[in-house]
Amino acid sequence: MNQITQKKRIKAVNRSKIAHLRQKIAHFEPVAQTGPNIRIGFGEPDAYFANHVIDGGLALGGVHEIIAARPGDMGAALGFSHYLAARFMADKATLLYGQTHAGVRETGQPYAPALRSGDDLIYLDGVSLTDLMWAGEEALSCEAIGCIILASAEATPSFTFSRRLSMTARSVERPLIMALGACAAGTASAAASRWVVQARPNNGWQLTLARLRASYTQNPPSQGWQVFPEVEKKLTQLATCDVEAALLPQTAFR
Amino acid sequence: MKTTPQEPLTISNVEMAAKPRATGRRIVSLWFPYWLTQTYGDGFEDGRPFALLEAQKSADRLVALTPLAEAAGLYVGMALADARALVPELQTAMVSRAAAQAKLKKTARWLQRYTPWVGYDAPGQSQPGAFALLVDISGCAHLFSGERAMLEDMKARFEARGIRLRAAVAGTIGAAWGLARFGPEADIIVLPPEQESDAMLPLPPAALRLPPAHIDLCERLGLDSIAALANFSRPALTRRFGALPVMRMEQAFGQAGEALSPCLPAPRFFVQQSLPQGVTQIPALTDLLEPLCQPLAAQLEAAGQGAQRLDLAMTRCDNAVLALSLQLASPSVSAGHMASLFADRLERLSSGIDAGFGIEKLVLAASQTSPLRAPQMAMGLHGRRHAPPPASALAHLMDRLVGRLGAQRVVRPVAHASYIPERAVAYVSVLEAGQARASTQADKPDSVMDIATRPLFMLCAPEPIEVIAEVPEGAPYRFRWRRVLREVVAAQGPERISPEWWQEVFGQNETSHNRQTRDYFRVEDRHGHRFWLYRDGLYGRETQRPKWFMHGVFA
Repeated sequence: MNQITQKKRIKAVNRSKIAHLRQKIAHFEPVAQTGPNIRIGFGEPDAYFANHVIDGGLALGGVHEIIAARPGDMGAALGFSHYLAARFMADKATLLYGQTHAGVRETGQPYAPALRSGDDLIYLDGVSLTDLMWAGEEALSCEAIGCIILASAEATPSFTFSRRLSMTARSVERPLIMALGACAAGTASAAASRWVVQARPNNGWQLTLARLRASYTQNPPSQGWQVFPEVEKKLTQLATCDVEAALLPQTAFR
Repeated sequence: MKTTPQEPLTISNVEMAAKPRATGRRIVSLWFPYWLTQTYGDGFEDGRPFALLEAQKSADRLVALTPLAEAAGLYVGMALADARALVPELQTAMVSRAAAQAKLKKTARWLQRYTPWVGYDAPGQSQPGAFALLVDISGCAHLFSGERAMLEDMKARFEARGIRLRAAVAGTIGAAWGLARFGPEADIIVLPPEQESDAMLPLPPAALRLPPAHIDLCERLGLDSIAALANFSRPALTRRFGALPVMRMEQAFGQAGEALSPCLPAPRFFVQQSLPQGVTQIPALTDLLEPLCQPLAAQLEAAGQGAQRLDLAMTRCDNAVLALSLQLASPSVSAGHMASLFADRLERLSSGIDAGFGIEKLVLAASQTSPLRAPQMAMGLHGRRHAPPPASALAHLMDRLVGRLGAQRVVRPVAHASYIPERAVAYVSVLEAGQARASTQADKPDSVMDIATRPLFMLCAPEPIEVIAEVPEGAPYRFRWRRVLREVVAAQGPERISPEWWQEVFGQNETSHNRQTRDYFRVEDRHGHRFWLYRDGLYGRETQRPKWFMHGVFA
């Protein structure tokens, strides 16, 4: 009997404490963001953002995490990262892309002719995770950098890192995209949004919005959306040809 | 356009004036007759003869001796077997000229405690293997209570390290050089001003810095002194020997000018600060940097130059010099930026720098500068509203990234005119990317390829894969990459890329690792992962067993 009342009292104390802490957090971290934002450029996700998010778009100032759904999906995650970066950088500004050693081993180096940002790119080739985070924070405070992508396939930055970067990104209103491997799913972070990307047949992506800070709803829809990026559309028609058709002479002499 | 400060003059200005020019210059020639053996280090007993060897023409021959070995009757060029027969207790080691040269360089740096103007003996002037330095002490000697006292001081310091030194001071390079080697017995020779010709005339012709062929000829003709040479008329000498002996004679006598090129060219822009108390704490140095950078930035700005390379030399109490240098992505005159870069560097190095008993002098020099260009401002209201961010913002970021991550890690893509995918783009350090881009902009391939046909990521080196194809020329049906078997559901290709034969014809690249035609395929596996792979070599025409490689990953 006595025990139960004590437990209740502790619970009540905890509850008031938690409420107090929540208030404190809310004081320096507004839940709803009202800053510049972008449309994602795909029908379904944009409709969701228009209906459920105060801003009506993906916030420019913040950290956005793009996570590969399976170990082999790092290419798709990086592709979506570069796609988002191109949307963020409407005017031509420099893109900073940094990668850890493991990323270089796994997917190689970004191939500039295929990048949407063209060759206006600063690339950090195989640096440690700590250095990568440091570089991200440095670059956020530089007005000449339009967007930053930090890719780490093997290690997930700690909550402290992600919180530091988030606060900087929000204060300067510039985007930072973190492309992470499948191991990052479910980890704690302070990011504004978290997307899980999976490669789909016919050059598509399965996008799942795993977390969103600025949403009205507590949980974003879990099913995700299938999207086909525009540049790849032309590819789709060509690529659906079967093996026999591929044998026909399409040879391009260069 | 880069300006290198103080372009050293190497071609001397020969004037056919008979009268010596009173320049007031005082040159010291320092000659170390036993430099190779005496700087060799430990590992041999002092009491026994020691010689250094070099393999010459299938025999080990002596190339350098200690005074003791010389006294025992050995000579340079002697075969080791003969030397051993003569002196059984001889100690030997293999010679390392590079190490000896490095020590000489260090010595030249150290000699800057006497004067900033220290130069090497120009190559070709002296016999190979001679280790010597030239020091211009004009106007410095009184700080060391006279020329003789200064040379005595040098000699004492070298002898404390067991290095024999012969030094001569004279008004010309030629006279100092000749006297140091062929002058009177004394180790220190001080020639009063304007007596060069009198002192040089009795010396042998070799004292004129002539090549061995000339000296041989003089010997055969019986010309045993410079006086004998000087007796001939100049046209006669020139006819017989060429212009060199006349020029050397005039240089030695002070009738023709000769420049001494310092081995460490003095920077045009530099500031220094003495710290009489000595600073032992590296963080404390950080606070001194900004006030040090400000006058340098002011100097640079006044000259319209921006620093591209900064060297910070910190001299410790024990005369060791700790050097830090920074390369900047674009010319800068911002003192705050320079100071913050050095502060970053010092902070990261603070455990690695040994300040010893304190750092007592800081010298900050802009060793490489380029002209500053004022940025072009956009005209009109629209331009002002959408003003691009200042270029300096990006340059500052790049400097900071390079400072921490290293110049090779911070790169930018530079396009090359090539159809071979991995050659079409190269990553170049941001410090060099500016120039590389400017030079390659012109010869970019004009047909812009569809970006969708190229993978987002390219592997650093193509990785071999096992492939099963339905027909030899066709797309793969199934392949194994990194131990995972993948089934191809869709494929497109081939895109045929031939080797660039013109590169080989004109010899532009020596690293063409492959001379076979590649057929590239874009394939998609069951899970939707997309790859770029190629077959190396045309089946039947170039190879019977073509190999397959994975080259890239699509988004």
